[in-house]
Amino acid sequence: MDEPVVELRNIKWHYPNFGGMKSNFLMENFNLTVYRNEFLGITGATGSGKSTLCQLIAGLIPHQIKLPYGKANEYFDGEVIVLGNVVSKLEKKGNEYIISGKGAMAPEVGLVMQDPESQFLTMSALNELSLGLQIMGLPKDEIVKRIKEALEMVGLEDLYELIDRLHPSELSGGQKQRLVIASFLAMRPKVLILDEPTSDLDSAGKIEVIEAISRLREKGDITVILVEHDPEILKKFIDRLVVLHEGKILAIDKPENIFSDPGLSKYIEVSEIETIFKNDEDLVKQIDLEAARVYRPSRRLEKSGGPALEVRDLKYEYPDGSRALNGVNLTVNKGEFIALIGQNGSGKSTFSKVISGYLTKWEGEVKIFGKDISEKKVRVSIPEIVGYVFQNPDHQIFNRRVDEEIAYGLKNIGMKEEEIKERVDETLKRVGLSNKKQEDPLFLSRGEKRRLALASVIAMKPEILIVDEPTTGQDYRMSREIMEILLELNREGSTIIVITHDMRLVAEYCRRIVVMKRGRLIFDGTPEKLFENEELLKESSLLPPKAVQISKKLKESGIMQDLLLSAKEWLDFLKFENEKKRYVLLSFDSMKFYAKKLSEEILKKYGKPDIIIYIERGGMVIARLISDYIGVKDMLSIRASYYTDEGVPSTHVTLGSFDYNLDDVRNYILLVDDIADTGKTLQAVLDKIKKLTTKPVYVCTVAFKPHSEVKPDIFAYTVDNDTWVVFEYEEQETKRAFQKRNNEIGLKFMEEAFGKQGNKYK
Amino acid sequence: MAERKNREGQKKYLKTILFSAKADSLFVNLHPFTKFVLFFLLSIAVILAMTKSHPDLVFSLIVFLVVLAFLLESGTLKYVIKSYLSLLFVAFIVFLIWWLIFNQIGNSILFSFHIGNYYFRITKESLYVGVAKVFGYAAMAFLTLLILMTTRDVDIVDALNQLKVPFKQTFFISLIFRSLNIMEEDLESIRHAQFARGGKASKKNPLSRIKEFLALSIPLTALMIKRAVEMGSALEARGFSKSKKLSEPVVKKRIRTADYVALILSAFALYTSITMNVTNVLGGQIWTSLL
Repeated sequence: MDEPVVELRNIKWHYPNFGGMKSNFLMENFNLTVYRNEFLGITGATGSGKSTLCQLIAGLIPHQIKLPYGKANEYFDGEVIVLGNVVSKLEKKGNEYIISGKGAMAPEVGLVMQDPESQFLTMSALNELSLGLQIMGLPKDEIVKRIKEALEMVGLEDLYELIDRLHPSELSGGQKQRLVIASFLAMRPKVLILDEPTSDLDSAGKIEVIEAISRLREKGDITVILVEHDPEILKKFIDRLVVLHEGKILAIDKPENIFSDPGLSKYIEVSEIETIFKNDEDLVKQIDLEAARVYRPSRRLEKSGGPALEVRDLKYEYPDGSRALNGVNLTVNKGEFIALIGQNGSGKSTFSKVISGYLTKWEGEVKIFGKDISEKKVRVSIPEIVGYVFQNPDHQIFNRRVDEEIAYGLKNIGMKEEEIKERVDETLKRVGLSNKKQEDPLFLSRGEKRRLALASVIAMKPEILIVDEPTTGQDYRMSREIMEILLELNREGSTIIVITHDMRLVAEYCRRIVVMKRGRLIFDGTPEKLFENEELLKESSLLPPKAVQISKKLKESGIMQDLLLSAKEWLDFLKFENEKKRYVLLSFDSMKFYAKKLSEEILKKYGKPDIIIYIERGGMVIARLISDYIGVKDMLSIRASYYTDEGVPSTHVTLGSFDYNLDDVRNYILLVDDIADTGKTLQAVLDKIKKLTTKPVYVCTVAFKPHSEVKPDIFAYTVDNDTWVVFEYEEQETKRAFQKRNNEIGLKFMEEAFGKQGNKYK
Repeated sequence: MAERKNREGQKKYLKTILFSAKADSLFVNLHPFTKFVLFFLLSIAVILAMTKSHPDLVFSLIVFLVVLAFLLESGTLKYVIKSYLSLLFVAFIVFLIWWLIFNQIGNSILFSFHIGNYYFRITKESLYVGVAKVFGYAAMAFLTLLILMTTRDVDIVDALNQLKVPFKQTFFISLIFRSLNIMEEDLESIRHAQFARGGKASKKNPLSRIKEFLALSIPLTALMIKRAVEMGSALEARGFSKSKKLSEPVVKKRIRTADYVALILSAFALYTSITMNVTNVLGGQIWTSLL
């Protein structure tokens, strides 16, 4: 395995400007070696350069990109060597710099990209599979043999008999993706590059395909390079993992070392559950069995504000006679957050097209808030009631300015100009795009486009919101951002229907799951009921998320009463377990004392800050005290929390909008909070502020726990990690949190500290 | 979209250039060459039947009915009825009226009327010729639909390959079909997105409607550019630029007995149209004697 098959030496790459769009992406002094028969993983956030790296190895970059003649050196440098051949190299001829090398190296090197639609090049599945093989000049018998083998590898052997009769429109996204992978496997490449090739597949399908590729590697001489976010897949199959960030390699190591490095956690998707439990086998030793036996997770109850959507015996037939919907019955109540899941071709999209009013000529009855949508008058008013966010944001951008894009729908429903302006500003703020108001949506990043697409729909304040595959093609953080916005809308009363394959998000956010198969509903119930139904999971090709798999084992062995659905619920359980630990009270007088002490240190160390930013609500009191002491009147706040109001830790930080202009800062910014506990909130806020300014940001907190991700620049004192610091001014919130968790020790502490009647310090 | 195969896993329908057709129907399984020649021969036959001095109403009618029978047999008649019948019906009625007004031949007046100084009359003769022409044009229109509805784009590309048209040219044609297919699917999603944002819901003046239509071009153009770039990369990844001579395709459509029968019958139809007037042969002299 020590023989290099891919070598990138001192690579520099930056994209030429396109249509006035400047690309900030820059790869410089990039070096990477991939060895024979290795399974190399590449991961990193969206925009980190994963696809660029794949295309460099495949020889598409720079050969396929039009560069100004003779000036290639401004964009590319170094050399890419694959299987001993120079794929790309910068050469100087006279005064001109040109790119030399072989370029794309099919069939020895294969590249499967993310979107199967654009890679499916022919008009039949058979032609698609045989195209590369015909180009290779293989005889007919060999082509047939290889096609059969490749189909088996990707789990499509059943299609073989029909393969010459299948048109691309008849294949689902998942089937197309498998076929494209099969077409490369059939070419038996020596290096196979897979750039997020399973984004359209359901969870079980994803594992199945990667497993097949892994088996292939074990059998023969193939080097695999896989771009993937999913930590479970990366840990299971990969030999070495490359972490990319802004075109640079942050780390290359074995996946277990990468995932256990806390410093890398913000650049990669971390299996939150695995950060809690290192080893499934020792699980029983890692948890308090007594606590596990009595623990019951507290879950959000679905609101039931009367039926929002009533569907009775809904049938829909395509013009060729195939039935997409075959008698669907469903009632969705106002304020519910539902996941609609099912394999490709199960009828989810058709169903959502009917309820969004787009499809007509269906049979049955569909009522939205009691109104029959078969009536034309009702149907045309549906866009005001039902919002639809598409999987691909490019499908729903109709304007050349961000604000106009949001105003588009509002104008269509006849809103007044002034009201539109107000609504546009309010929505942009909500999705954090206020600073992009006048930009061209086509040039936004993928994540920003996604948020714009969502904004353009939520601006219309629909009472029912359908969101199609919010996670496809995005990293987990981006997906979460979207889900958090949806959750907020749901809390405000919107009914949310999410169509997705992502079982992690389903388990965490949705309290009701509807599973479709062949145009029928085959399940309607809570996630826990679905995950306990083995037969149904198998039938629907669904794989429960890791958090569920672990708790399922514990439930089956009688240790736990309920399934825990997400990492968040596991953290919640651990919190319950830990609540027997220590408590300290921080009185208001002590806060004043510490504020004075901290202020003196701030002035001594850094001088006067231009502005104080505090994290709501915890940082408000201490920030105000410090501002009085050091005489800084400019204060801004940002809403951010890693804990819910009940004190339950979350798996991620929820940030409020913060679209201030920080250009006036000359000296530095002081970021203030009451405590650096896990440090996740501070880190998220710091990241956000640093995007808005290049000036220094110093962090100041009253208390600091050693396990915090961020060590404040200035803090008053250190507390143990397992200590709960109760701030005097947070008496009521803390009490409520303890009551909710039935934390008797905590409540006893509160009683001792504040007395039965309340705050004894006042 | 639901899979277009029946629940037992057999494929009942094949996706064709226009809609879908029954996989086992006669016309679907004809070789594209046969369809091309048949279309050519029958079109000439019908044109001759319509344009001869004594138009052959029965011949046009027979061709029309045979085409209808094949549309029915291939399972495509329902699409014609759903999508084109009203359009074609109106077109043929207008054509007939136009014909009757501007071709006032013969003297057997059925009825007449004045508009100002203009005198119009509908004669038995002009009605006969008009009806013959309507059936003739209908036969050709329906034949065109039959061919489009029973031919797969991939069959055309394969046929061109069999004709030894260079691979890069045939692949280019195939890529056009594929791009149109992708565009159709993208357009469907875009139209849905526009509808979901109230794009079609409100009543608007024609200018707003044009503006709305133009709005579609923004996402469509952006998507097509993106897809073109990706398709280019996908082609390179398969080694397209290095392709020279391709090996034999796995499946080749062959000329079968049914193809020979279809060719003979269409040649016979042409021969009939050239050599005789079926209407007269079947005793339609009363009509033609009017001319």
